[in-house]
Amino acid sequence: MSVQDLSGSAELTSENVCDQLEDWLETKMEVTSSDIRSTAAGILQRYNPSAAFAYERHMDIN
Amino acid sequence: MAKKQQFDYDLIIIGSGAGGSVAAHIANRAGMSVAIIEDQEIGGECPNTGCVPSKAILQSAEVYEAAKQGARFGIRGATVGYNYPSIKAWKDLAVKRTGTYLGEEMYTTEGISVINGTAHFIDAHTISVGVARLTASKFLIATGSKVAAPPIPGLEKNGYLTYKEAINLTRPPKSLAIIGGGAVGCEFATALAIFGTKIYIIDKAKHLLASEEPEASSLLEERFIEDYSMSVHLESVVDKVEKIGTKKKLTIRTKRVETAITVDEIMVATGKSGLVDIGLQNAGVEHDKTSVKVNEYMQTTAPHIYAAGDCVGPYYFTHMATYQSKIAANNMLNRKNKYVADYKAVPRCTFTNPEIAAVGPTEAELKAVKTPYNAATIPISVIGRANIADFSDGFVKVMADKKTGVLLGGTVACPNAGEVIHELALAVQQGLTAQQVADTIHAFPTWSEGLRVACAKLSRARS
Repeated sequence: MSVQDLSGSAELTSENVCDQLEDWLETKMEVTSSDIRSTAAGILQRYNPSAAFAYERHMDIN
Repeated sequence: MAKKQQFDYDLIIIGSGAGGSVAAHIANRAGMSVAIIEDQEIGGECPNTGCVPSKAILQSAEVYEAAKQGARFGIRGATVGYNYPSIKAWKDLAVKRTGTYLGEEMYTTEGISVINGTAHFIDAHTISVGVARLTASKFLIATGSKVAAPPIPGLEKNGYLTYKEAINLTRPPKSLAIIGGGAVGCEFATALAIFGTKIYIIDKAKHLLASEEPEASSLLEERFIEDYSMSVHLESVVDKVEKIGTKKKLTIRTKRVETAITVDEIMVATGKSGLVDIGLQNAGVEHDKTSVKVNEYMQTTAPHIYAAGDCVGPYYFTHMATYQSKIAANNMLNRKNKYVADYKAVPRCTFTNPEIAAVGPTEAELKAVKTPYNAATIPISVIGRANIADFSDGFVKVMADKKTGVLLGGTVACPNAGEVIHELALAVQQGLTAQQVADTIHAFPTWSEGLRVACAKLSRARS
């Protein structure tokens, strides 16, 4: 996340994303790692679109 | 020789609504082994919580309103009243009488398996349903849609109705704010206003039914305000919702002016979005947040996976879902003669008073794509039926290609417009000219005569 973000904002965002991801997971019996990645990115998008973009693509960058 | 892969089923359909059921029967009749996965009520939204119950309530409202106006036609009686629990019982009966009341039996007697649970793609040929994994050679995604509620501060916390709850009210609220002035919002506004609810409609668009002709919107706005004493807030957004005792306060912003209204209940009717959270990326199916991407054969980006209904769009109609489901099923079976989805003559009906029905593009849409056209509008008061029914507020508008005279679309606003529109839909679908419709004998006195008169006027404009 950007160094310009307020102190603690990364922690707060990751906490929110994890909470919502857990809520989503409770509705599923079986998911793949790809599901978790795309859903987490989708939730992160609402809080920090740049971070979501980086998270979604970090495995594509060599 | 490589051994052919064995699947549990030839076809798995995710969703038993209009988008799934038609394909299930076609595929089953063609000899495919078919399974349907459903996580809610069999039959999906239309018969259980959508069109059927809402139109049953509208039917009661229409009868009540007609009875109240009986004196105009020489009918006298004691004071007319209604009993809302009885209206709800009538609505339940209408739902019960749909084919879906039989539930799973409707499918299992035909040899179609029904599995209750939520499906999730694990890979291109495997889904998980609960703890089970099922495989199939082909899939049809017909997951339907959900209400897309706007992110208004305080709305979620203070609660709101959608059409699913509004059909099960035990009595009409004294006052109701409807956020969204599209077809669903306008239909519930009509029914509940007739039963005495004070209605407030808030929409960010310039007109109610914003995607229809402005003449239709103006007609409806006028009737809503004058005949039903509704408050219509257009070009307005709800900034926040607060709880004031047992009531709900909405802060509305119209351009730069802020107003507040206090109501008993809020209904959200801002549209729907397709249900796509079923692991589509694991199967290689491209999608966005609200819909599954398909080609004209209803095939997704994974060639063995098809999709139909609300999860595809572009229209959230039952008749659209059944049409797409039929196309998907036939394309799964018949590879040489593919069926192609054609949306040029999709009827759109709003069951208000009067009904507003349309087919094809609006005049603004024709202008936007620079299609040369001629248009003709007639007031419904010129036809005999309007005199007999003592109804004069509607109109018929038709548009045809300027060069050929072939009908492109139109709008009908009158009682039973939802029936009248199909003649125009047939004409548009089959490429008939306005002159051909005008030359067809129409029975007197019917509402359909309006279409003949409008087409005759359009033909004269061309010659």
